[in-house]
Amino acid sequence: MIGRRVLGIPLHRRAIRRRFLVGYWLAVLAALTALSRFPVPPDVSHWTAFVPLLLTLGFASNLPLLLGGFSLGGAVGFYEGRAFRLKDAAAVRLARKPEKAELVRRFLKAAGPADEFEARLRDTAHHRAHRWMFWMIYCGAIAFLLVSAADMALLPRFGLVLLELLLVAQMSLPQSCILWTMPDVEPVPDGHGSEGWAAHMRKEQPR
Amino acid sequence: MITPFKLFGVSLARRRTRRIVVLAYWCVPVPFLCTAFLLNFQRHGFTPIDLLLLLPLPAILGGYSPAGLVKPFNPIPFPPGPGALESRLGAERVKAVLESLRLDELEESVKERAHRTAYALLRWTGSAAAVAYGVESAFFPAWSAVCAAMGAFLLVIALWCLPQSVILWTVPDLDPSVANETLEVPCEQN
Repeated sequence: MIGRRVLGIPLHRRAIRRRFLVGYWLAVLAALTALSRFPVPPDVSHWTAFVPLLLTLGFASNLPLLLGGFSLGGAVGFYEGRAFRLKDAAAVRLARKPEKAELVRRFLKAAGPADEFEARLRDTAHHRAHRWMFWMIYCGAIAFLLVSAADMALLPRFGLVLLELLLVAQMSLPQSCILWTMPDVEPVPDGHGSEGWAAHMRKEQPR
Repeated sequence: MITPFKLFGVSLARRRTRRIVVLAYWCVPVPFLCTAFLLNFQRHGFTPIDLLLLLPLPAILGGYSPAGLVKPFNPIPFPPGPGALESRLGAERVKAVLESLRLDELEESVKERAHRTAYALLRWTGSAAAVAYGVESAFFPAWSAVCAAMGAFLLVIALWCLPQSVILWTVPDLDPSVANETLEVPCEQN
């Protein structure tokens, strides 16, 4: 489930994974801080003022791709095997060469939890993440209360930042839980994950 | 996973009954509370009353409360000493009730699976809500504050009630022997 390389960083050791996670959440914090500084409606006078806002939103929303789980090639393997098998045909069609199509098919068949243990680990991580979300939302609601008591005009901007934080948290918390708590594992050989997958495809192509 | 408690005298052993309860729950009290929240927010802004509005809802479904339709997700600790509840009901009875609400291995697994499903549902609805909020705030900026507050309120309700709803919706019909089981434990003979 874990142990892949992400952005060239080997994540098989827990200490490295934890540092990676700290960096990840600092990046989220930076994106949200930037987001809180851009003008939001009704302060926006021209559509071009939306561009930095949209770019930052896009950056923050795509950060969870690094952690995987819901996406191909992140630090954590796919949570859902079956859902992606449904898209198998489309993915195979995209890989036009037959040998690549075969590799894509094999990769997608390997997606999802490998055994009962991994399925249980995934579900437990979601349960924990749900509880954290619960407390985050409560703290958010209290913060909302305080902000609305201070100045109602701040609410649209605060609502946007809070909503983005919740979205990013929702896409990242289960994976963060898995990456933070799992002990050191054997490094996953090339052939899994985004970089490994590409290397695998290059290596296994018939000459 | 489902407690033997009855809702207004109706047993929830059958899945069909549970599904009706879940639908009724999401169609009657939830919209009612949302409307109450909206009216209160428009008149007075965000007040502590809004947080209080949330409290009674999840108590019905259980999970995070000991007396609902779903067993508590986290084990309830045994009372440290003879408390008011124990002296009224009897220590053995309290212990038996708490023991019957403890989750076994299979139920733990069902609980965690339900949280994952609820999480997935929230992910999609949350993303759709974020897009809707963006569009709305671009075209009707005056409604931004109300929509953000309403979204936060609905999110709290969903976080609190979705896993239990998933469990009530999906767990198959209970065994009749389990369904007829009650929490009537003989009181201590003094």
